[in-house]
Amino acid sequence: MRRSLAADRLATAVLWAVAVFVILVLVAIIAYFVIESIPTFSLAFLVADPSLTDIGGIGPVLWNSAYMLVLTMLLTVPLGVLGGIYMAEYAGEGWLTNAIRFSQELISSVPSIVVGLFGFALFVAATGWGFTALGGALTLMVFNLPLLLRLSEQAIRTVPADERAASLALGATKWQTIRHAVLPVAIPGVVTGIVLTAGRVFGEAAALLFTAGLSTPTRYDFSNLNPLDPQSPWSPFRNATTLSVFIWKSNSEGLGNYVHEVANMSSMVLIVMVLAFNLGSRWLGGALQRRVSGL
Amino acid sequence: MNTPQGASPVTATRPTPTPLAIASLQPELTGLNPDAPVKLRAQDVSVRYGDRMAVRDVTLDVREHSVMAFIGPSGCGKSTVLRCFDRMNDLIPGAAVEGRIELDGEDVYAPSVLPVEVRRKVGLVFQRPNPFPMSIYENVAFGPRRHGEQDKARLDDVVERALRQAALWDEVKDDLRKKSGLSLSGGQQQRLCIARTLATDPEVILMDEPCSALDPIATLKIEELIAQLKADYTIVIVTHNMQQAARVSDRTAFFTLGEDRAGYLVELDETLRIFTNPANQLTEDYVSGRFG
Repeated sequence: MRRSLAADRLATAVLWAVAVFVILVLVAIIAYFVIESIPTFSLAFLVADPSLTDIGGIGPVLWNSAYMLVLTMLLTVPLGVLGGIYMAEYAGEGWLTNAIRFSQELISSVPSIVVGLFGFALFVAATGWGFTALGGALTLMVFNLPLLLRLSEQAIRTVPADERAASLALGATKWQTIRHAVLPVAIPGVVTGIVLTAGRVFGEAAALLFTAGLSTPTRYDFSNLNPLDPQSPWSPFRNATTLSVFIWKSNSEGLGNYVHEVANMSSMVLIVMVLAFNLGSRWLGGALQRRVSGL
Repeated sequence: MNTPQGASPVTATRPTPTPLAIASLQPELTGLNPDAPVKLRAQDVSVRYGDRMAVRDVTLDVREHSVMAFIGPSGCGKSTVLRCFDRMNDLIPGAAVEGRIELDGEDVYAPSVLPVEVRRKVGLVFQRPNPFPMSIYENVAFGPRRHGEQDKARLDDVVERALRQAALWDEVKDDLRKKSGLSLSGGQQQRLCIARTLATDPEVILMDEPCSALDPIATLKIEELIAQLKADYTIVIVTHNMQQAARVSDRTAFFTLGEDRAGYLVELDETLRIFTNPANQLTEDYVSGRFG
């Protein structure tokens, strides 16, 4: 009896310690970049153009990151979620399903630098587009789609069979059941999947080096809506260095007087953006669920 | 609802089957009316799950506006037969139904019949209360919405009527849109599920052990409800509780397991006779508690 009580206390203490350690690591990372950034940070940094001689800013690359995020999610979310529904509700078991699962796992485990090379061969060289935002987004889709597919499938599968049976017993069709009984319950899980994939878009550098490129047009003119003009901020056919690629570049081969400061401040912005995005998506998921459940 | 069946709730409140003795003297009031049309019929029905025969050669019919109880030991195929009537067996991979199932004389398994249409006429209340994680209102409006009703005023009407019929209205009318169906107590949840079924305007209500997860008071409320609903619906209830079968049903079907591990129908008769003077020794043993 005394032994099991001691073991119980020990388990509690160890689990607490692990949790505290994880949180401390996270806090330390954020604190490091915040402290390093404070002396030089100003809001102007967020919108200014990069510069070789002065600190400059990250305006264009921040825009590129947001643009790339939206473009990638536009490509990935519909396919990922619909594919997840197919895998969970329609696919059943069989060689095709197994083949899809196998490919999912395989692509998920390919290093992103390799996916980047594949993207280069296909979306940069073979298409003749050169380094473009669209090429980058398609490359990101290559390894985000299997992840989102898997996560949405799991979210849909965790919906209790009772919900489906109840809906079908009320005379709803299969699609009505999926749309009105299953998806509302699965929304938080699907949103989590979307947030995870979105986080990878924001954070990914390796796969974008050879696809979206290491440079970007500066002095964006947002009134230029021509989607084929490589200088337009709205064009998918332009070089589009994202924030993470920019950090990598500043840190490893940057020139100029403030390379270190720029990398630190950019990292802080990246972390804050990812954090804000996570919290925002949680709120969105909750709001969506309240809406569909009529509460 | 003020038909002579109004007397039935009294039946439901007594723990012993004695009131049925009185009821059986007036067959036209108890759902034993021999002139009532046959609502449901099973003709030589066998169900297999893959290679395994679950239940074999069941023939029975259920008359309109009556309550039929299915009793018998676990695994004897009661629920399986029940779920033939609304084709919910279709959802189980490998399930195959042989024989003929009729609703109003029409073959429910005919190739031209869509399961969706059958389920709109034949509602099912599950063993475990399973409201959707939505507001009370949305739970009840679910069926009508899926059947195409969009008019708000009519939906409001349907929801109120169904909740009143399920004797839940007074308890939830102030929280229709504020509370989740899951926030109700178990008994309330089950009445919500019944209301949800009633809102689809079915003709038949199948109940698969609807009280097995409920406490005695909640059980009593459901039984009272069944007695009232009989006036407008045809009800088939699977139950493990023999007193419940005695209290709520007009006729009772006793199933058991054969030596081949497949269930079969042993005896079907007026409930009073099943419980007092059954024809078959197996039935006698089961209702008197000498089984297994």
